[in-house]
Amino acid sequence: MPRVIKILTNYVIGPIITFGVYVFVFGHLLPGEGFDGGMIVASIFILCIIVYGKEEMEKRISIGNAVFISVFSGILIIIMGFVGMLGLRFEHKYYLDNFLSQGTFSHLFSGGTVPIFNILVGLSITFGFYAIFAYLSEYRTEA
Amino acid sequence: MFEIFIILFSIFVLIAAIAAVEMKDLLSSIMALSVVGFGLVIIFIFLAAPEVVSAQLVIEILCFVSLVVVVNKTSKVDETKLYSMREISPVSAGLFFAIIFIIFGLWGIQDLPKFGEPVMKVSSVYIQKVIAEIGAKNIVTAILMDFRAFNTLIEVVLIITLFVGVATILRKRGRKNAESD
Repeated sequence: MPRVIKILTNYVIGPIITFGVYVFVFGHLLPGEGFDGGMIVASIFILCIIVYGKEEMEKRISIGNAVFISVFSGILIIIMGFVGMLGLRFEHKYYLDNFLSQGTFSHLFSGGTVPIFNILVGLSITFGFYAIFAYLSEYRTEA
Repeated sequence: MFEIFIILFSIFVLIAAIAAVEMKDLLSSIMALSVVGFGLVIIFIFLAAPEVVSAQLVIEILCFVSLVVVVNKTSKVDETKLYSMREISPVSAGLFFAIIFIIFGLWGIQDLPKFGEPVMKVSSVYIQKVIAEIGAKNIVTAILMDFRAFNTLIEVVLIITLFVGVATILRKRGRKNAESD
């Protein structure tokens, strides 16, 4: 890649990762949710793979770690679903029920389990798409 | 007023989709495909759905980039011939089922509520319960992450399954064994 693109990428990485994390942390207050924020952060990782090459990026985040984070946050959502079946609030006993208190309206700590699900889904989507694209970028046809 | 814009952009999206199928150069075909996606983004803006707009926009950009990368690494010209004599029976079968689908679809559309006049059966319960029981300000996220959290869980499982599929098809060890044989 030409040097101009590398320098521009360096300037863009910080703001876009901050924006993506903001979208999925504040997902219960503003438009956007875990899926959108995760895709934004994943898009900047994919830009890094294209510009710097896969080997350089895999020194920072290896594919094994990315898959581990992605699968682990999925498993955490499943476990929190079973915690919701205990009926800690309102005597509801559904799978994936909201078991934390609702908090102050329109503050950051509100909505019970909604922001936690947002963050877990965002992490899972981010590292899942990073791993998929890293695997795909390895493939070449024989010239 | 807005319905005119929606119909205009729908026709635009249809033309772009036909162009994407018919083009021989794969790069310009990808351009036409992304025109379809961004036309849908504009339609969603007229329908006042910011959540869908953000998801569609990000996914469209990612699809465009990965398709361009794939086309750069493989072939750039579409070499499949669709209109040879052998393809007549699948094409005619597809047309037949499309006509049957259109007939039954028009039959089913008559029972739907009119555009812009929703029947509030489930969603009225959601709107009443959001502030009292969940406390999230953004009602769309509250519905997606609480009332329909199972939907979101399956979304995450889908991404992990996608990775498993890619890793199975493109694994290194299997290909090395195939070369040595």
